[in-house]
Amino acid sequence: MNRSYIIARKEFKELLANRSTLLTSLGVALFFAIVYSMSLTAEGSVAGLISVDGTLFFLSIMLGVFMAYSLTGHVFYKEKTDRIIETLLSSPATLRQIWLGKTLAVTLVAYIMALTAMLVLITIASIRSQSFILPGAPVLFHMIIAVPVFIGAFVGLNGLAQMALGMKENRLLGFLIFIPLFAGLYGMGFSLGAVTSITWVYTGLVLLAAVLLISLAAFLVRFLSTERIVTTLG
Amino acid sequence: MIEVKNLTKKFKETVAVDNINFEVKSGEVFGCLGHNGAGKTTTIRLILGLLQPTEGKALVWGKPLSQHPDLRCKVGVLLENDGLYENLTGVQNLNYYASLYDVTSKEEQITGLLDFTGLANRCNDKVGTYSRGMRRKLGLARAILHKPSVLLLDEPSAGLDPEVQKMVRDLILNLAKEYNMLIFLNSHDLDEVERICSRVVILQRGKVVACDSLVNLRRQSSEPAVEITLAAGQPPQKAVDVLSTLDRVNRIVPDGNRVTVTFEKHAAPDPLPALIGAGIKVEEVKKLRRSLEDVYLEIIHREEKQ
Ligand SMILES: Nc1ncnc2c1ncn2[C@@H]1O[C@H](COP(=O)(O)OP(=O)(O)OP(=O)(O)O)[C@@H](O)[C@H]1O
Ligand SMILES: [Mg+2]
Repeated sequence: MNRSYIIARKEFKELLANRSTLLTSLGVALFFAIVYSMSLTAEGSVAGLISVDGTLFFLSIMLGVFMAYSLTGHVFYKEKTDRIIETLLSSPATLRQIWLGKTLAVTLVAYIMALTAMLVLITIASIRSQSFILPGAPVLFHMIIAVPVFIGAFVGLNGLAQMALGMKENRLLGFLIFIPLFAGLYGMGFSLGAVTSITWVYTGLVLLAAVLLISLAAFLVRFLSTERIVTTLG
Repeated sequence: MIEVKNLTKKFKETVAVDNINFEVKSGEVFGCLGHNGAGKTTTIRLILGLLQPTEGKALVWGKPLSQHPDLRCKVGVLLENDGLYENLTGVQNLNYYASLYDVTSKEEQITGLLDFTGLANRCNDKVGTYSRGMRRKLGLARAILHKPSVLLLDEPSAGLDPEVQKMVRDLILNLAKEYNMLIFLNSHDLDEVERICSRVVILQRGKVVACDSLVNLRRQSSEPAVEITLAAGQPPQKAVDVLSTLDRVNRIVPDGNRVTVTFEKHAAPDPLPALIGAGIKVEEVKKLRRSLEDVYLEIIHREEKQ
């Protein structure tokens, strides 16, 4: 069996076993889904400021990344602070397999949670407006293809950084990512949602960016060394 | 087999390992001794390829493990940390590592080890609920799950009760004998090392200060010592006075009706004639077998003086 897959499966299992983290993250996702659903109708917001497509487009990616942000540390950095990584690095698994396995697991769980939140959002908005709200084809494609790839790119890069950095740098990094993410979820959502129609160009750009970022992460893995990891244990 | 050649590791100004050399062959139980910070863990990490040498090399079967993941399939490790996931159960932990190491007949192997370590009844509990000793035992089971040919242990019995320590010792001896496993272990526990290791290396501030079989170490370093038990009613002070007139005596330590006399190296102690000549009645004269602890302390102190 492929070692990346073995690692991914184990990380997936462990994430699911970590109920408190999982429920907290899901809680946050549902909170935002509900908040945004309140201002949505089939025609967009009451004031006509926010479009359904714009909201789904923006929120799916932001929530996905936010979920990934809350889980990455449990899978990548925690193994360093617990010092278990040394044992794993002594196993036949290579650094690339370890990185890939972990990235896959976090991406999958984060994506499932984000998707759940989006479904909740659509359901509530549909019920409130008493009509079935269906996003346009570009947005559907975006949610099904581009969003998971984008989450993967974020997890891949963030995970890589967590493996390479020490305790202090990791705290700083977490902080630096959190601020814009949270600000985005709160405020910018409404302004970005104001874009009335999401075309294939938007979707294509996001997917392109995601593919580029994930390639960058995969390329950067070659510069990560076990020594770097072992000498920056918490 | 492990070869360590002119191995040096520097961390900025600290020289953690300083040009050390040794070899270990299959079937050997090899001990690495030294005070805190002597460089034992760094040496294991270098052998495992977790760290890159500043100079020299650390090879297993002639190759650096860092560049040969396939070779790591035949290497088992128990480091300072047990390498277990608290959120997973004992069985899940073993299953994970068994898959990573391509273990065939996983179930059988895992059940056997759980029975052997006495963890079978807790194997479906999360490792987070285990005691320190239980984790160490599970960590050891994890390390030998794939029947490695080389086993590296960093203070394997730290934090274990005497009964489990004995279990670990017996297991190590058995693995070396039955499977011809090479076992490299770091330890502070000189008693343990004395019982199981055939050869040892002693590190001090990153340097090798001794590397030899236990038998040779004892022979080379031995300042011979005898313990004299005086017959009842004999004044110890008189015996001490007589003994201090002997040639090549280093130390005399009276303790009740017993007197321990340590001689200079290579001396052939024979205190009895002098005592009898002075009219002192002696019940027993016993040549003392020096423990590894004596030898270790002697070597360390000798190096410190230089
Ligand atoms: N990552 C590191 N960065 C800087 N110095 C280090 C690092 N790792 C080890 N050292 C230094 O190298 C020296 C040897 O450390 P090492 O952990 O190998 O000792 P040890 O013999 O295992 O000690 P102990 O018995 O306490 O486990 C120490 O001075 C330690 O401070
Ligand atoms: Mg150590």
